[in-house]
Amino acid sequence: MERLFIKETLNSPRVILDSTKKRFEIAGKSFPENAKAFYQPVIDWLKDIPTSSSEKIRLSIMLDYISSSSVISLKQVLAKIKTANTNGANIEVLWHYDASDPDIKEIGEEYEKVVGMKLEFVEQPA
Amino acid sequence: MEITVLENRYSDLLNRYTGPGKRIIVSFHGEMDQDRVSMLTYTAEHQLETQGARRTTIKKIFNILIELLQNVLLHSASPDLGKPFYFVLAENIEDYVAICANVVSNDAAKKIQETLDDIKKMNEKQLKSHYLEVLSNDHYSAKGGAGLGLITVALKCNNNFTFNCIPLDEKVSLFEMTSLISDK
Repeated sequence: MERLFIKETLNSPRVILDSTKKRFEIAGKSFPENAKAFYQPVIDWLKDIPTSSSEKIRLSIMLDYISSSSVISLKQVLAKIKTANTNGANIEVLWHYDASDPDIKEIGEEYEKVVGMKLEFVEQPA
Repeated sequence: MEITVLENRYSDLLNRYTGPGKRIIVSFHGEMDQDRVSMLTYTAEHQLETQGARRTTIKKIFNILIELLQNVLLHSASPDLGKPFYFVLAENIEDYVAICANVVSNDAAKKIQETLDDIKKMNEKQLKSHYLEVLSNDHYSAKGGAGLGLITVALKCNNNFTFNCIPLDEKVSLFEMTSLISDK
């Protein structure tokens, strides 16, 4: 699979999806001008996940701020992961949140309800 | 005419939030672009940290500012003048107040008013339920929004907001939204 790397900016997170180094993460602040366009490469990358592979992918999502348009686009990323898993892929999503920030944890819990998939919650010390 | 109305109202706001118990934290009047969103939100965050605001309050304000400013970026309707707007974040006695205004089409102004009138009638539980309902919906606009931004603002300020639509001519209006955020 091709490696996807998007550099972090003031308003968009870094994205590392690298099968060779087994590093999968989305981290930073997410309020790009066009969230749909920003997350499209992630959705495209997920389309290429081999469904027959037994290799487990652990995707860490570590976001401090998520704008409403990013919330919608990330939902679409998670829905794509759910579909890939249904088709045989093995992707686990680790949802990191700051212990002092209940809002980010709450967004993860909302995704569990809306997308219908289990997230692994990882609390970071405040 | 648009620019004069914006300038006058901006100037009035600067006066309104200057005085005992009041302080302007960040303010701006000009044209909007994505760099401006980043600059204003990060400046606000830094200023609030410097003055010792609670971390949860800073996060709430940061979220509200992003939604208000990105609405300006995505939904302004003033092609001849760029995207004029004004923005004020101020301390008002024990609360913070965030005010943002931009020029929108009269059609958009009508829709925003209807949406905000509906939101205003909801209690916290109804707002959260409405948020999940909208998030569950897969019909988003070409710009990626679904009205989630306005619900987010309402949730972050405990529905403590007001808004104004002032017709500027037969095509456009000035839309101004004010959110009050408690630091308790």
